[in-house]
Amino acid sequence: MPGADKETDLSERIESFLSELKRCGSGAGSLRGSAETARETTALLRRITAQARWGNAGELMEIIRKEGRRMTAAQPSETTVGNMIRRVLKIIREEYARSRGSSEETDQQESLHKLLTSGGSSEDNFRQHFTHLKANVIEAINELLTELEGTTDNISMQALEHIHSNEVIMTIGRSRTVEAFLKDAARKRKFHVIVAECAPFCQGHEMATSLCKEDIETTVIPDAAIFAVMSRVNKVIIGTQTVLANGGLRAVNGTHTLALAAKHHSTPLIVCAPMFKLSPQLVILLYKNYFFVLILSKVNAHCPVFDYVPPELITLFISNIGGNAPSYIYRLMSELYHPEDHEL
Amino acid sequence: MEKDTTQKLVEYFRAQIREDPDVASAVAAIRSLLEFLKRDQSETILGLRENQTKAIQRLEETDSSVAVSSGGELFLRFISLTSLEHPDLSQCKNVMIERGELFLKKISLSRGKVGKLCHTFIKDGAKILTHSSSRVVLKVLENAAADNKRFTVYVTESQPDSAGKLMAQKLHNLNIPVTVVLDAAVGYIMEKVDLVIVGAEGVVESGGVINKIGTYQMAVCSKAHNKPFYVVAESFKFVRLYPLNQQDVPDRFKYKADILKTVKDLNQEHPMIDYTPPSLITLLFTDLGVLTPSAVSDELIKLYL
Repeated sequence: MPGADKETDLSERIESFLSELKRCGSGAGSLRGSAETARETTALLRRITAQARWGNAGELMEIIRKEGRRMTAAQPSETTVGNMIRRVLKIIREEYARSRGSSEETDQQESLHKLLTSGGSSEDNFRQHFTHLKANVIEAINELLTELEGTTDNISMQALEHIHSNEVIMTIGRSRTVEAFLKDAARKRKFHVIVAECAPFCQGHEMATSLCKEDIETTVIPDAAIFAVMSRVNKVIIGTQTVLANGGLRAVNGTHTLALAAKHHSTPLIVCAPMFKLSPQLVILLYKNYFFVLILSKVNAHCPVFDYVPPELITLFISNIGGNAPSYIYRLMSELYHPEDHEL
Repeated sequence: MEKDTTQKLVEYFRAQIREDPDVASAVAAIRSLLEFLKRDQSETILGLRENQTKAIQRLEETDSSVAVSSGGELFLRFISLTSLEHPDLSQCKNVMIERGELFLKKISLSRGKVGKLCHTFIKDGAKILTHSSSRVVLKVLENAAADNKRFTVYVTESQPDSAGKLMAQKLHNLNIPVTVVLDAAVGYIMEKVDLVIVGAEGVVESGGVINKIGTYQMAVCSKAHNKPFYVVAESFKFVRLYPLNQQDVPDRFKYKADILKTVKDLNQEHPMIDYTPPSLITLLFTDLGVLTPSAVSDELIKLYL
């Protein structure tokens, strides 16, 4: 039966995606960047929308939420998966509201204004059936995919405004976004980059090699030298794994040190992060991400993978929609996600 | 005749607080205003509004807290922010009363919502510092305790009314280990605590809060020690004030109602509240969600524009 085939095909794909996610954490699977994860998640959600059986928006949202919970449980440290699911849920809500004809501006956000002007409880069940809903949702997801593909370019386009000639820029580890950012600026400006190597995996070395290929003058320094060198640095530009709801960061270990050193020297700290890294969570359990390194047989070294950087240390966020202050992140969050989806 | 009705209003308000000591003063005020509206004999909508405004002023004279003022204003907005085009006055009045009941129902649920949001931020083994007696903070700690989290609480005594001892008693009844500390001991105790949670009497436009005297001190101390400073407040406490410093807070909020009426030289009196600027606050927990201080002004603009 063709229906059953589609379903088994769909569930196979979901299972393979889940197992890929699980393998990523242990380091055995293909090391993928967050952009690829975001793209694959969105493509999978589009497939679910197209192939799964659902009668109305409410059922579709339930299916996506259920699959979403499994995906986030498979790899809790990969927050882009959860973010994409929330984006798609918001898309479904918007398309549903549009089909119903009601105005789609802030009519579903909890606000003091809404508390005062609404009459009666506004429980929207999403149970109405619309024939064009599927097509509309798939089209909107396609737009989302196009947006995802253009994020790195959008960020790099802003490079020339922030990097000037003869500047010394510091960065840490390896971020593909920052790499593209610096390479774009290097086409027209001459500047110097200092890369902190970010032990123990020393991804900074790869970053330095890649930057050298574009004729950018690069220096690699050990993490312990960050503070010592900071007085010579004009700007610090970093990438991050996640941007939290309060404007803080969850970034590769060593970033908090870098941020504190920058604050001490009043050096601006710029974070290049595409919008799909924005997560509505505030409290992320950091203590679960560790690599255990056995140096001697009787010594265990705990090596946390991520750092939390509080929002007071950050000067500017550069994302594909422009530059923003950390105190503005809550606003961007309310535009991207619906408050009921914060908890999947 | 007028004095009689306003007198009844004040009595009703006081009775509400007596019967249910757990109720927020703003909720009691709004209930009284709703009763007043039901009994109002005006012939025009303008008359109704004027009487409501006078009633709010009368209540502010009885209980000079910021929450009563903000709750009253929001109530008035809520009931009148609807189309009152009915030709019959009694119909309009019924609409207003209905909306009043609805508003009351919504805000009675606020405290529960805040409690649910905030208790996830309390980790197992945490040491919490709080100031004076706040029913919202109590609800948060109650929820955290119900979630089987172990934590200890330090409460400041909070003179001149020793409200902190009341809070300690309530926490003791919930089987939460609690210690009362002197107001002056906040700096001493700050290195031991993990986080600070306080309530608020009012949340101002800048994202700062107005709360019992001593809160500002606690906030400055927690900033110096890099401890998170959380504020829990329901959304009806959002008020349209923008104080830039302590002097900017109006006198009618700073001192108790009876002192304002009897005392000539306020400089000799002790203020009951102070203003904590938003730069010292980490997060605000409200029934509208977890907000950063900069998000508060957004909410207020959405409301009043």
